[in-house]
Parts: sequence; structure tokens; C-alpha cells
Amino acid sequence: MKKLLTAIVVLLAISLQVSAYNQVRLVINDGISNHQLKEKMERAVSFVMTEINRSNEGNLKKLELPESYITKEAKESLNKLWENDRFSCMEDEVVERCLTTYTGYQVRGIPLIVKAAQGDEELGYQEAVVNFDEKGVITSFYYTINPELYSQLRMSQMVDKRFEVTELKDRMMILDYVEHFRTSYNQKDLKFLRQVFSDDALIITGKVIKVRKSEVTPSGNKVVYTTQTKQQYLDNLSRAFKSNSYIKVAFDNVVIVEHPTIKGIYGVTVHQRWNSSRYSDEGYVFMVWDFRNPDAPQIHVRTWQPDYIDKEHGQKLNPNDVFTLGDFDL
Amino acid sequence: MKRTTTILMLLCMVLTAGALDKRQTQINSIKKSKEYLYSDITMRTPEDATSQALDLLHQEILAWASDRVDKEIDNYPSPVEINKVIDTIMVRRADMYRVFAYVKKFNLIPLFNKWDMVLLEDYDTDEGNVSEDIHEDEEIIIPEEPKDSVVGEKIRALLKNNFLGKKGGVIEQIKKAKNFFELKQIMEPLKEKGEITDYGKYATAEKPEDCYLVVYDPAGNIKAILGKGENVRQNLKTGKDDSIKNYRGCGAIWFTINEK
Repeated sequence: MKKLLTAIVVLLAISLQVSAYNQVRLVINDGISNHQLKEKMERAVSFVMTEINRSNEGNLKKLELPESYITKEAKESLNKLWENDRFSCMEDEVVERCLTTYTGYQVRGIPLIVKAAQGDEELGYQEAVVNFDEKGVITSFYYTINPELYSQLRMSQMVDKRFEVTELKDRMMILDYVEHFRTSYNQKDLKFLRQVFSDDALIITGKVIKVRKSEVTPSGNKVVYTTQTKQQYLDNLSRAFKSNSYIKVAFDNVVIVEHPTIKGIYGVTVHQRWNSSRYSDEGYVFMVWDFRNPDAPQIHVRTWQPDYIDKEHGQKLNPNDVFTLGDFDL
Repeated sequence: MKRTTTILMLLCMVLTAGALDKRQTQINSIKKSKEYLYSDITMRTPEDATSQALDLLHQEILAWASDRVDKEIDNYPSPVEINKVIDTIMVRRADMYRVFAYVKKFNLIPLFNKWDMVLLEDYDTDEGNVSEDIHEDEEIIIPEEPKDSVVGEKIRALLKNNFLGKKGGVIEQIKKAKNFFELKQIMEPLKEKGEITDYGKYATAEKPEDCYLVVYDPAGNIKAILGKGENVRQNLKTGKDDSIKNYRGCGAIWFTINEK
């Protein structure tokens, strides 16, 4: 019996060791031939993720990261996220491909477990995307949009030979901004949102209301739309940021359509899951992104429509009713 | 009794963590090996993750196959056939499900039923010595060039002083290659010297009937050297009649000899 107990104590000691913060090692398995650069990026992510794990375990309020691995701006942005979310990398070894972007390189799929910084609310699983400059220094750290999208994008480039690399780069650039945009809600980063919405942005929000049943509205539910100016939207958002201890925004699916005649204008539709400490909803967000100045892209239109017109009876919003680029005169 | 239950529960927890760790190690080993194609998806339900992972892996397989033949593939295997050679590993990731789908490239060749599927690029890495299916307790070792290889300086020196310029000499040199690696290192100097006018993947041959063929199996071993011809070619190793149809699932390199 004594021997059994000793064995159990040893096993427990091992398991406890496992539960302490883990050292993370990134291995890039494909996508880059420059060995030195590859090793530099691997070292940078390994160090940053291990430091994140250590800070999470020690409940530290700020991430201390050296600028040889991560730019000052990226560190500030990461700390902004850290103020609202606490996360850790759940795996000791992460093996991922390296993608080439319009400004450098990218590694996706870093597995994270996220919880709210206040209140220990579990926010579940997220994947991180890390962007690097050409020298292999980390320039940003965002939550990803759903992971399979990038794979599909990569695949479509491989399968369809007409898919030009330049277009792939354009799409990657758009998705980078969409990921930044999505993460800015988790960061409660009003400054970025103010910067990214154009001053005359049109913001439309759908809302389901009860009406008398008729031929037009057989369910007795109807979506009505209200419009807001940029300032009204940001004021409301600011209130939401203050009253919610955490906000988790996830994009399930992303469709990007280029404007048929105006180069640089894109319609981006995403399925959004909004989950905050006080309120949750799911719906479609449609945005008109203007990339004509690629250094400072802007959103001219943002619409939100609910997933369901009548959730109780499973009546979904007709996909044809989801806003598209054709609904707006530009 | 209470103590025993607690101990058992703790043991279960430790063992579960160990199993998870093992699966994680297995996934990473596969991702690091070049012998496999894979997709790795984490979604909210196991059904969605599985369907998405399989879908993506199918696309990856078709893209991989397309890259290995220079003409349109007209006989794609069905998704059901492809699924038969795919393995999956499912792991919980917090509130989500991770599905890792993978397939060994070697197992795909018979599926495409293309005897001329070219594996040149893969042999440049590690495809020549594919290991057997991964078992949970095995680590994948990425093989290097065969140890018994006689390539390199020795062959180059031999080529300098041998019967270059004669058809028989060229064939004799090529016959010395036991595997793909050796073949490549023999052919390049022969081409530099002008003894063979050109060589390449079978799919790139403009007039295959005017070319000699070196046939190799998926493990990279040379199976035959065939003379010129259409349906019937002479097997230059055995001297007997042979045909490319006898080497389904193999790859081939064509070459033409400077006969002047």
C-alpha cells in the first residue's frame, strides 16, 4: 500500500509539473527557405508565448517582451488585449506553416485558452495569428478569423492557376485588417475603431420586432433597421466597453467580394458571434472596406442583421436579405 | 473507500493527460514529416471539424496530385476512395474539437492509378525512404540519402574516364544506379558532357516512344531501364521484351542519348 501511495505521489508530482506554465516551442515546417530567418521567427514566437504563459500563471498585469522579438507597437497592442483577456498557449510544441504576406511573413494557428482578465470567465478556445516584418520581428498578434478560411484561400491559389499571387496578397491584406478589426473589440480599442471608420460612415443595425401576423410577416416578426452615425456608434460602443468586463467577438465565416468597377473597394460579409458579460447575439455583419489607400483603409458601411427572425421557431434570416455590395451606391 | 476512489480519479486524470500528450506528439511528428499531407481544423462540433478537415485534405491531395503530372488528371479518385486512405485524430481543445486528418503520400499513388505520377520533388526530400505507418509510440525519423549510396565523387570520377560518347557506355552508367538518388547524380554529369541530350519526368516527354525510360518504384528503387518503343520496349537489364504497362504505380524518367 505504501509503495502504491509513493507511486501515486510521483505521478501527481509529474502531473503538477505539467500544470505549471509550459515552455512553448514553435516549429515552422514549411513556407520559408531562409533558415536563419525561420529560426529567428521560431525563437520570437517561442519566447513571446512562453512569456505569455508565465505571465498568465503569475497573474501579471503587463507582458514584458524584448523589442528584439516584437515591435513596440505590437507589444502595446498585445498588452491592450492582455488588459481585457488572459490567455495561455496550451501546447508545448506548435508546428505550423509560414505564409508570405504583403509586408513580411505570418504564422497562424497558435492555440490559446482565453479567459476574461476580470472575473475569471472562461472565454474558450481561440487561435492567434502572428505577423512578422521582413526581418522576422513580430509586428502584430491578433485572434484569427476561423482557421479553415486561410486554408481554403491557400488551396484555391494552388488549385486554380488563374488565381494570381497579387490577388492572394490583396486578400491576405484585407483579412489582416479584418482580423485586426475583430481583435480591436476584444481589446476595447476605440482608438483603432475611430481611425478605421470613415467620418461619414453609415452604420445600420437590424432589430427583430413583433408585428401583427400577415401575408408579409407570417411569423409575426419583422426586422427593422436603424441608422447611426460614426459618433453615435462609437459612443454606444464606448458605453458597452465600460459596462462589460469582457467582450468576445468571433467571426465564423468570411466572404470577400471586390467591387465590379471601383478597384480597392471590397464588400466583406462575416458571421459574427458577440459574447459579452451582459449580452450575447449572433448575426451577419456586412462591411464596405475601402483599400484605395492601403496604408489607411477605411470602413464606409457597417451593417448588422440578426441570424434569426424567429429563433423560437427556427426561422432564419433569408440569405438573400443579407446586405451586399450591390445594396449601396458608392 | 473514499481514499481509493480519489486515488483512482487522480490516476485517471494523469493517464488522460498522458494520452492527450501522446496524440499531440503524434500530430506534430506527422506535421514535421514530408511524407504526409494533412489538414488541421478546430471547430465547435466534431462533425463540422471532421467534415471541414476531410474537405481540406481532399483539396490538398488533388493539388498535390495535379502538381505531379503535367497533363490534366482525368480520372480523379472518388471522395470515398480517398477517405479509405485517410486517417484522423480527434482531440478536445477546451470547448472545441480539433480534427487532424492525414494521409501518407505513398498510399495515394495507387489511387490515382497513374503509373507516370512523378515523385521527383518528394525524393529530393525524404519520400525515397518512407517509413511504415506511425504508431503512437514511434517517432518519425526523416530518412536521409541511403547509406549504401555509391553516388558522388566516385561516380563522377568514373564518368570522366569511361566510355562516354558511346550509347552502350551511357546505358552501362545508368544501369549502375540502384535508386533515384544515384540516378539523378549520374544523369546530370552525363547531360553536362553532352552524352545524353536531355532527360526529365515521364509526363514531360514530347515523344515518349523515342525516349529511353528509367522506371522506379514509389520507394525510389530502380525497377527497370527500358529501350525506345511504344507498347513493347526492350528491358535493357534483362534483354527481354517488356512494357511500361508492367510497372503501374511506378514513376519514370525519360532520357535521350546523343547518338552522333
